[in-house]
Amino acid sequence: MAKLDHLKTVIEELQQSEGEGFVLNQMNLSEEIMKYEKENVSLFIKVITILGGLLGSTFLVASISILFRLNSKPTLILGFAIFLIVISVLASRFNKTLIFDTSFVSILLWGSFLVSISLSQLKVDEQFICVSYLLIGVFTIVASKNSYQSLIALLMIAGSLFWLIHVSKYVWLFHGYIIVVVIALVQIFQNEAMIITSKSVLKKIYAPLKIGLIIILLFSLGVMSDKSVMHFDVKYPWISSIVLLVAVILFSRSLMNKLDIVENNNKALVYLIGLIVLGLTSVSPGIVGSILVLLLCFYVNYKTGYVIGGLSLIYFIIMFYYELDYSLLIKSELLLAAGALFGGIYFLSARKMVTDEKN
Amino acid sequence: MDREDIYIISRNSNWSAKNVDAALKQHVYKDANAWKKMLHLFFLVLAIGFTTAGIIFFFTYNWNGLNKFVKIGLIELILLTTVFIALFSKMRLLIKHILLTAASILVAALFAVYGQIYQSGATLYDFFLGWTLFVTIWVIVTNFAFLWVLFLYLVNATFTFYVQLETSRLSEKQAYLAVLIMNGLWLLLFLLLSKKYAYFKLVNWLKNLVFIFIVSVATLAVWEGLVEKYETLLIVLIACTLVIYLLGLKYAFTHKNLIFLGIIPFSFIIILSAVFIKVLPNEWVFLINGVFITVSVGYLIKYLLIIQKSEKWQS
Repeated sequence: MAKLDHLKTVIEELQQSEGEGFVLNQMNLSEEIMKYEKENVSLFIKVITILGGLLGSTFLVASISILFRLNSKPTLILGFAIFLIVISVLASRFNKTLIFDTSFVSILLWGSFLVSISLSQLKVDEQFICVSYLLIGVFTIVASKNSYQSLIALLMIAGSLFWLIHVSKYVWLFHGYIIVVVIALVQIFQNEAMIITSKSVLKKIYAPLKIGLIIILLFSLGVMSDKSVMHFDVKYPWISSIVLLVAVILFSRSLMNKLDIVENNNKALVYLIGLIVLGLTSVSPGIVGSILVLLLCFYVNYKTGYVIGGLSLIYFIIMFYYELDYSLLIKSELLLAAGALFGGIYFLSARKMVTDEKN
Repeated sequence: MDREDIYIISRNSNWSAKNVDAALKQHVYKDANAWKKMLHLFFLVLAIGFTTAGIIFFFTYNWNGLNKFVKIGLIELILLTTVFIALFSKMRLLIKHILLTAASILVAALFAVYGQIYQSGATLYDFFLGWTLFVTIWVIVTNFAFLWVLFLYLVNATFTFYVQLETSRLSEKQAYLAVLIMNGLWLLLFLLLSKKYAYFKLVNWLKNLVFIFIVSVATLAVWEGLVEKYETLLIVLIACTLVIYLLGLKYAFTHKNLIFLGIIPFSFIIILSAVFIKVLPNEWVFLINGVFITVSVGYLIKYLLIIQKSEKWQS
């Protein structure tokens, strides 16, 4: 009820500032607040729900597979898997119980897993399996009302597109893939107000879209630069770096307006430092990507996002230095030089902040 | 006004996009001050991080060439400096505690380097035993929650390595039982004495963490005991578990602790599913377990939510 009172005061202020055109749908509002209070449970209860849902649904799926002796016929498994997926997605539209929410997510996961097992037993092309995941993902996003299912679907779609490019001959399409993801990410974060007041599909999946795009971007960048993991041979990784760099520069223009850095000298200095640091690390687009995520999420105050961005920045910097092909001595000198550079920037900015305050 | 409020209101009204944008920018998005602080912190962290990494890399490069007294002397010097600052400087108590935690970890580094130089043939058990003993005084004196976590981890690890490496006389179930009794007694001691002596008052997260650990070990031990061949020790194990759970429930109700209250029934549900597997070793048991777990966890959560909302229990 504290939420209701708090919202009432907020709405009153809003009605005053908005004027007469502002219309509020009172009934729906009360319903939503009740739903919000129901879903706002402590972390402990959430964890128990997830564990319970996972265990319960895993036992159920295993039991049906064993009882109907599905191991022998891949087509039966496929049918069962599709049934699981459809049921879990459609049922999520009508569900009002917490425990079934997590059970449906877990059933969706099991269904998808069984699809790939049965298809590979039927000796189907890799590309066909990717396309099937694409279809599952699209169906789930359109039909589901559960945001965790939407997130999984988003990751499935991105993953299947990623894998399709990987097994095709057109490996350079990766850069196109990254460009699309970057543009989507920037647009999503810059136009939050427009999306949540529209009536499109995007509004329904806005929350999973935010975290999903971040995961997709960082994961793709990580896999691209990690030659050992997936035997990718993405030529010219610096193309992605340039794309990301452009995005960061465009974004930092609006950022600098916000921070009142107006003088051209300072602007040029910021650009220069940015270009040097990012140019040196262009082999690892992950660093620029993490910085972009960090800046965007901090701008819109999306805590999960900027924490993930910060952690991935640390990871990519570590990997960058790890893969440098110099001796430890030279690496230590490079690190100390970088430390000195950033220390210098820190002290310069500290001095500038003090003079600003004096003025 | 926070983001959630704006979302709820915008979903149920005709708030225009432009004004929603303005509201977001005013109340939710970070302002110039926050940016300045963040960038400041960012460059400071980068500066310290790179410099430290550079120093560490430098020492790693030269490590093999260093004299063995220099190696040990260097670590001892850092250790002594840390403890000295913790003891005699005028910083906040929290920082002193963090420094002693760092010192505890440096003790391990010292032992590791010593073992590496002299090839003393020490096993993991010896290493953990030494580490535990040398850190005990600091843990007791500071009474710092993170140090207690480290200490409990060390005691359990030392015992585990003792069982694995030094003796084959203890069976797995006896080892589980010993772990349960050790940690259970520690928690019991602290909870009982916390009313009389302020020293024994534990932070909430530490209490909950230790109890969750105890319950997890108990659940694992009983599950394994039920699924495998029957041993008489299983009865002792189950009795011990019941005692712990009853005491835990009593504590949950008297101190309104939701975590103690919730994790015990959850453990019971898992143990019951193991009982079903033992009693009905056929195909239908998975179906029964699946339905049983889903339904009972569902009711458990309903019950926990009601309790949480009604009487303001801590979680």
